[in-house]
Amino acid sequence: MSSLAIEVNDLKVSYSMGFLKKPKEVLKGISFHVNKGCIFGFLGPNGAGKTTAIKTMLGLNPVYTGKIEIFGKSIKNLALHDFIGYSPENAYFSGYLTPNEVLLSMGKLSGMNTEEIKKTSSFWLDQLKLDHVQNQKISTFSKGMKQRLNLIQSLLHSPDLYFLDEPASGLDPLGKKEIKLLMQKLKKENKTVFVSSHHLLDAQDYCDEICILNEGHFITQGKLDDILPKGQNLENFFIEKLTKNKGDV
Amino acid sequence: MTPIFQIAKDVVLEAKRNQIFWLSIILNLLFFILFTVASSSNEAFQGKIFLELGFTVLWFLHFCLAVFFAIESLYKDQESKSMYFYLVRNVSRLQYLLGKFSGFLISITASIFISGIGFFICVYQLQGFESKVLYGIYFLILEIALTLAVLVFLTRIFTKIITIFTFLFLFFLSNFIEFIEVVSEFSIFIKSLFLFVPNYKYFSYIDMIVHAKVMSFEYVYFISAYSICLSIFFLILSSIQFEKKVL
Repeated sequence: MSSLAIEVNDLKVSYSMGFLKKPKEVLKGISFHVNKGCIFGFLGPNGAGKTTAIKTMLGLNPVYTGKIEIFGKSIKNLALHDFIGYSPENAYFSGYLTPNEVLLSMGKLSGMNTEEIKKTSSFWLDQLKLDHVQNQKISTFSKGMKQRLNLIQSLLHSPDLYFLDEPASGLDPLGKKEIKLLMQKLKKENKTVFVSSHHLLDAQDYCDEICILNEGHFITQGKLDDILPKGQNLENFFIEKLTKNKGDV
Repeated sequence: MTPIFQIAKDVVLEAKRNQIFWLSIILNLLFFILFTVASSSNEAFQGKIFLELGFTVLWFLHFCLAVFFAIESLYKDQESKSMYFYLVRNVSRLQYLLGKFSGFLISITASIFISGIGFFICVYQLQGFESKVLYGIYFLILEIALTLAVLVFLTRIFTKIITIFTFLFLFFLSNFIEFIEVVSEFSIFIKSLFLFVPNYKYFSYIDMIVHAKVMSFEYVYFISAYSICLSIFFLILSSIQFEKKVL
C-alpha cells in the first residue's frame, strides 16, 4: 500500500480570461507529493496558484492536464470524497440556517447517521467554541465564527485527508493558536493535513513538509529540516527563493 | 437519491425562513380578500373577472418568486462558495442541480398550495365549488417547474444580470412565437428550433379555464407531458454545461 496521500505530476491548468476567452496558464506543470500522516504546507504569494491547485485536486476544476492521485486513486472517483475534508477560504453557509442544521446536512451527505452526526458535531462545536450558538442563525455570526463553522464541516466525518485553505483567515490570535493545536491533534491521529497559508512563521511552527509555488511554477518541496538552512526562518527563505526564481525567469 | 433529497431539504428550510416567501403568501391572500370584498359589493366584479384577477395574482407572484429564488440562491451559492461544501462530498454535479431544482419546486408548490386554498375558499364563498381552480393550480405548478428548469440552465451559462435579461427575452419571445412567420429555405430547421423554446402560450389557462375555451383531458395530458419533458431536457442541458464548468 502506498505511503503517499497525494501525488501530483505535471499539473497544468489554464483559464479562459476576458470577453475573447483568451487562455491564461495558471499552473505551469507542477509536481509534488504528500506523505500520509504529515502536516504539509502549501505556500506561495497571492496569485501563485495555490487555491487553483487545491480546487483541481478536489475535482472542482475538471479542465486540467497531468496526473492527480489521492490515496492512489483518481479524484474523479466520487467515493474517494468520503475520505476528504475541505475547508475553503472565506466560504460561508446560508445565513438562514443554524450550525446544527448545516452540520446535520453535511454529515448526511458524507454518509453519517443522525446519531453519529449529533455526537460528532457537538464535540467539534464545543472544541471550536461554537456550542453556545449552535441553534442561532448563521447570519448573526462574525467572520471568525463562520470560519470556525467552515472548519467544523470539514472535520465532521473524520476524513483521512484535510485540505485547509487559509484556515486562519479571519481568526484572532487565539483562534490561530487553536487551529495550530487542532492540526497537531489531527496529525497525532495519523491524519494528513494539507494546508495553504500566507502566514509563513506560523507555517514553520506546525508544518513537517512544505511546497512553494510562485506564479504557477513549482519552486521547491521537502521536509522543513532538510530544506531550511540552520538558523534561517521560513519567511527569509521564502523571499530568497522567490527572488532567485524571478531572476531565473 | 439521498444527496438530492438532502440538498432539496436545505433549500426548503432556507425558503421557509425567507421573508419574501411569506410576503408572497400574505400578498396573495390580501389580494383574494380584496377581490372577494369587491365582488360582494359590486356585481360587475363577480364571476369571470374575479377568477381572472385571482389567477393573474396567483400566477404573477409565484412566477416572480420562482425567478427570485432560483437566481438568488444559485448565484449566492457560487459567490459564497457554499456550493463547494456539497461538491467536495460524495455528491455529483447533477445531484446538486436536481437537489436545488427540487427544493425550489417544493417551496413554491407549498406557497401555491397555501395561497390556492385561500383562493379556493374565496371562490367557494362567492360561486360554490369550482373545479376550474384546481386545474389552474395544477397548470401553474407545471409552468413554475418549466420556468425553474430554464433558469437553472441559464445560471449555468451566464452571469446574473445576463441570465435575467435572457430569461425575460425567452419569456416574451415564447408568448409571441406563434406570430413569427418564418419564410426561408431554412424554415423547417428554424421551426424545429422553436420547439425547444419553452412556449408559455400553452399555459394560458386563464383563457381556457375562466373563459371556458377549448379544454379537454387530452390537453391536460399534453401540457403535463410537454412541461415534464422540456423541464428534463433543460435539466440535462444544465448538467452537461455544469459538468465542464470550472468552479
